[in-house]
Amino acid sequence: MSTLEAPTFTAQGRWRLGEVVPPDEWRYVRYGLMASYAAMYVWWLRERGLPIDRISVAISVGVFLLFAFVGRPLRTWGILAVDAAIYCVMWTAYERTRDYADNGVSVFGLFTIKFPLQWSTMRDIDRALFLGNDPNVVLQEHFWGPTVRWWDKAASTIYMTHFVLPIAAMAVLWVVSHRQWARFIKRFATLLLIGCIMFVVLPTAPPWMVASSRFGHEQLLPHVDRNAWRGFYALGFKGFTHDYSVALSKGNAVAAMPSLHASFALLVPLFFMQWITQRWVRWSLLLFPVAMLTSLVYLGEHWVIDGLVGWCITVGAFWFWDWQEQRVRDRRAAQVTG
Amino acid sequence: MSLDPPQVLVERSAIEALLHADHPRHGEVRNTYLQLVEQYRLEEILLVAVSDDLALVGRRWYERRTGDLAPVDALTVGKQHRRAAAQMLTEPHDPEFALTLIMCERHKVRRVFTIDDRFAAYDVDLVPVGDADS
Repeated sequence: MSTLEAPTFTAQGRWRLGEVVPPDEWRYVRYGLMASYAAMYVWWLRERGLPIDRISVAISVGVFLLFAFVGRPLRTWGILAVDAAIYCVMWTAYERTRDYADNGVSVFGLFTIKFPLQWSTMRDIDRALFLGNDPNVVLQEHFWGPTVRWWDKAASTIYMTHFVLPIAAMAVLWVVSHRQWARFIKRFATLLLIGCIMFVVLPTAPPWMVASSRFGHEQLLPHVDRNAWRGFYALGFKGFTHDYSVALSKGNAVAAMPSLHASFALLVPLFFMQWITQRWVRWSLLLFPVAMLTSLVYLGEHWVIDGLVGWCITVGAFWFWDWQEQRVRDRRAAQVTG
Repeated sequence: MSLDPPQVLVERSAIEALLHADHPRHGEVRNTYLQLVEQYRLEEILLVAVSDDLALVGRRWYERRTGDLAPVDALTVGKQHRRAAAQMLTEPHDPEFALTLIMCERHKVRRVFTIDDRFAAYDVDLVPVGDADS
């Protein structure tokens, strides 16, 4: 029946498919390469630091995918190339919003629309939500100190997962199921798109900026420390750029609203929840976005309202794409049933 | 663990019976297919077919969401699959049948919708045809 010798039979006397079909000889090469990649990544993280800038992340994901797709059919590589192009366009568009937020949107070169920077709006909303208190200030007053304690390490680590978790989820889905990758990327891109639009239309100063008079505006909050990476350093992890503030200076500083940190921290658990059967495990995953928002507020990176809006956008993106995907299934089924 | 719903392969013999109204088993195949389509609509299963079989019935890439096979996604055959099919010795030698088995194995398909009796010799679940209300 096959080139393989003596195929075994099932209890019903049928041939086992896995034994009559010639094996995919590249399978174990792929597994080996992916395992070496995982080991290499951990070593790199320890020795050189966490890759957080777009180029380093793109290279690390690219290497993983090269390893994971070794020996796959040419067409699969073609699909991967198209996917990678979409991914790059998405990030480039995201980076471009910095220019628009800083310099305004030029309309056919005739005039420029520049949206006003929000200095106090989010602070006022937070104060209204917390009965006159500033959550960033209250948390730092109670927990921030000159020495790094365990909660600083936890907050910093949770903050840093933003640069790894969604990308890792995407890379794994890319390998495991292209269909699920497409589902994930639709939701992810929707968050990014809405985030980009809001960064331009509603440029918002984060708490650490509002709490300082160095940015050409009066200080509207008591002092707030900004040092999101010190707990991570204390754990022995260095920044890949060796100077995290250099990496940050390339980002959009007035992109507080909405918080993509909070959005992505909800996106990943929400996406993977459907495969977890134990209810308590499923719902406990939602503690992660709560921990992320608490960390963001404690570290002075975001207002509470930034995170809440980020969560609403995530839930909205899920609702929209769930509805859209059901519509596509209905339409395809209707072609048969008439 | 698979992240996707289980895939059901719509095999060539079933496709031909489905698309040709004069086929002796057209009615029962269509009834069974309608049940599968309903399961697809509820996202309980995914319907797939070997790309060669879809090409044989004239489906082009731009027609993938029209007609009776609209819910069916193609499992695209690559050169490595054809090479593997050429190595397989089925009795009687039939590279197309071998190719279907290869696509089932490589894409982890464990259920097949077919009226070809040869599949009964392999450990795949066959969708019972003709149990539907006719």
